[in-house]
Amino acid sequence: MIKKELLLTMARCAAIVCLIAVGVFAIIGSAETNRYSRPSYTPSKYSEVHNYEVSVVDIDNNPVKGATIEYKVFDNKTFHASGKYTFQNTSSINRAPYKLSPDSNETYFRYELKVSPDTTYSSWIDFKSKLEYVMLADGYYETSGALTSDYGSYFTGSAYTSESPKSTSERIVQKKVRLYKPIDYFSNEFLNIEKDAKLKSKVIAFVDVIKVQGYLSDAYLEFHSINSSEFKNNKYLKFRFDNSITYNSLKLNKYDIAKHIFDDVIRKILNPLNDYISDPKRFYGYDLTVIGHTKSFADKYASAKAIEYRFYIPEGAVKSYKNKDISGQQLIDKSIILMDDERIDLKLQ
Amino acid sequence: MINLKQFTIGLLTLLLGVIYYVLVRNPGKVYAIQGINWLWLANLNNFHAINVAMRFLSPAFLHSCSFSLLTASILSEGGDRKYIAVCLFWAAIGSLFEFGQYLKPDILAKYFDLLGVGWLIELTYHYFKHGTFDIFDIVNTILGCLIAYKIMLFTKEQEAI
Repeated sequence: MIKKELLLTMARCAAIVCLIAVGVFAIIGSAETNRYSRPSYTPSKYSEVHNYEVSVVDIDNNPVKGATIEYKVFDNKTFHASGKYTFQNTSSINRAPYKLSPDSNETYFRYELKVSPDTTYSSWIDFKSKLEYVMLADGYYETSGALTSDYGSYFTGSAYTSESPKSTSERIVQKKVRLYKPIDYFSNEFLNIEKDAKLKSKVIAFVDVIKVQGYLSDAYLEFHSINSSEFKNNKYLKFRFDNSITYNSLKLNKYDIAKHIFDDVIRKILNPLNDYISDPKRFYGYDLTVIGHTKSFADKYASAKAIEYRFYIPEGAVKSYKNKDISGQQLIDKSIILMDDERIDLKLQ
Repeated sequence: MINLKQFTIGLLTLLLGVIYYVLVRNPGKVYAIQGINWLWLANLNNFHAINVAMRFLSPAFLHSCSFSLLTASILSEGGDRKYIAVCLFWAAIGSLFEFGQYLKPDILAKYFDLLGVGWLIELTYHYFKHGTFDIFDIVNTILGCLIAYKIMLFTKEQEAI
């Protein structure tokens, strides 16, 4: 009996000692660890609010009335919501961009998302969100894209290192989406001088085809580039492309790049060009300019140098090439090729 | 064996202290509770009563009150003197640590390498060094002990189980 009481007393004493230890530790441990350079493994915040603001303008920076945005929102990697919004008020695009009251300004599409923390990795607390959009408007080419935000994310660091910020984005992610119409590819001069509506519609059909059907994966038709030009007393229909590929100058010289550009860009557009715009009475041929880029891949700080390749190709030769009457080399031989305004010969093999 | 009422009230007060740190402070950075996912407690933010309570409570108050009650609940027999001793003890502990933040004793820095407890000494050193002395924390500590003492007296009649 006495022994049992003794044991009980000892247990009480042990419990009290433990309690005191816990109590003291609770005091010491109550202060914030970032002052002590201690690691932190749980998120400091339960959610972050990410805001997206999307506006839509045309090539001249004017709001596009009636444009519709179809959007999908993701909280970290989880699908959160989707919907549609039609831009109504287009009177002023620059009004109160940071006011988030829903009814004060309809020029912007706004989405406010409460993002939950992603604690997949012990050293990172991520607050990531994404807004995918497709922008549509009558008479404009559809465009799509995505906006992301990691506002509020931070790096907790390894043991005994102080925290450092990880977020790169602002709380409000803003994007001005630009929509383009087919005539945005026409030069003003061409629009004013060329009175032939039929020709314009043919050119628009060609632009539609190369844009919508994706004939060119690595080259872009430049805006305001479609025009007419003259060379050696012949009239050409002019198109100007920018090739997004940068070629390695250590492996390919300027002539090799010209061959690549002929294969990757020119060859691909000859068929639709001849299908849609074939008017020998109006044009002798096509003036196709492609901007190529080259740099030394051995030098990581080297900046790319632009080279202008200009192909004056007679329409008749294109037709023959299309009908397989002549080869690619023969087509080149019938054409005039300028490299940075110097005439060159090109041998494909 | 223990006074269940005192123990329960003490435990609830301690939980309230944890909720305070989760809702008001930064739980991911509080050493004693970091490493635990307290996100579920964050939903308590939606309760107005809890939000109001958090405005009036202080960690110093909750700490001294809860640990006084928990210690008293373990004592074999509840007596006024024992209760007073327990409350005084926790009031002294709380106040000492608060005064430590005023005095900031650098001598602790010499014992960071002390086998086994060096990390605790280092933690204490940083607590003193970076903490802010606040006389209201001492008032709250004493107030917590007084409230705990009152609760002890109310729950004293209950037969210890």
